[in-house]
Amino acid sequence: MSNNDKAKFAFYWASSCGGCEIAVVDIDAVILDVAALGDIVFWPCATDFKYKDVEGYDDGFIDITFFNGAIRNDHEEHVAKLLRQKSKVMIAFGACSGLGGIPGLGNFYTTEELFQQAFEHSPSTVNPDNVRPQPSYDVPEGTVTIPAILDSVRALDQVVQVEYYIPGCPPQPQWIAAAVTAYAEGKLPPPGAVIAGESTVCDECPREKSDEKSITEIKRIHLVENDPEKCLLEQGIMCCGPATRSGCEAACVVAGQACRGCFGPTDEVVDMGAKLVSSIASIAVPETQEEIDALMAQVDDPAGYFYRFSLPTSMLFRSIHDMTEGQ
Amino acid sequence: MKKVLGQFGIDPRRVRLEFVSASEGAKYAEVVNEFTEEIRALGPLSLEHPADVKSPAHAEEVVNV
Repeated sequence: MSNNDKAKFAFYWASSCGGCEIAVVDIDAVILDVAALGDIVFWPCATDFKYKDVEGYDDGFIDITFFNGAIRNDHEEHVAKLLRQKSKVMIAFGACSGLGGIPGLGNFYTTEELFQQAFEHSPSTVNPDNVRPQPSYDVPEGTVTIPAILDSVRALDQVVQVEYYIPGCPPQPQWIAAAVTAYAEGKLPPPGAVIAGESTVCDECPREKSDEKSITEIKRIHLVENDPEKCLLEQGIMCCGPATRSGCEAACVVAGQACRGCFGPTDEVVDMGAKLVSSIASIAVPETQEEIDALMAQVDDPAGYFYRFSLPTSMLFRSIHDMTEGQ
Repeated sequence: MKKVLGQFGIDPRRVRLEFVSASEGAKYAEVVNEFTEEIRALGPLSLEHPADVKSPAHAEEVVNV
């Protein structure tokens, strides 16, 4: 176990893909600084500490918890609250924890719709008896339980208080290192800060941008050859750069992919999807409702595109179930 | 915009795009009155925002308009 004068770090994954765990290892030699600076006292992906170990820690025992993943079920909610209680500083690590992320797209559907897709309709499912997972089940040996799914996906700060955010899908090594260094030097920013850039991806994108932007059709990036020198939006390819926080050095755009918006909105933006709709609208040529409908018909899933990482932290939080709407 | 709202389960009739020139005062009044009646007929929008989830800063003002 740890001695008392070193800092204590914890890492946790809730509803996530594991990419954030890779991002931690991806900080290369900085991981040695982390090891020199402190002891890891909980990290289910890489160490053998148990929940009961965490429960045994004094409140505030952990200096920083790096929490990745959204809150999808009651177990994740429980662990988030437990780690909050035991930690001095809680960092929402990655897009899912900070914004709701890809799991957050589940908020476009009801739990019943999600279960129907997962346990009945998906092409790889064979489930003639329509068996559904039960949160608790009695067997001769006793009752076995699994976590129960929550009605909606939440970002970490919609469950517990969060001090800092390190955005990205996954977070970039330089910002993880920046956070660790800031902590080591006692120079952490004011609580609530997002540890990343302050402008937009467009600002750090090396592609050439003209002042005249006008698009008459929307193209899907995998169906066209894009000019590597020219702004993707000007080529009619939807790119989330205008509303996305900088700090990634436009990594995707440089690699020939459109920005997907994983760093989330800048400080000035309240609703990222609305901001993206507005930025697309400002460069679109069509003016009448019919022309706009024709342009948007080329986009299969605009809400999914514009809110790809931020649905639970958008103004609307989730879709409306009331079936009288949308008729 | 309508398509995005549709995916949120919001009736597309709640949004209307109309071009009115600055010189068309009568048309402006007509469009606003007409749309106001349409929205009144649709009734308030019931958002399923859990009480314990904080809305982003400006959401409250917009929702309560």
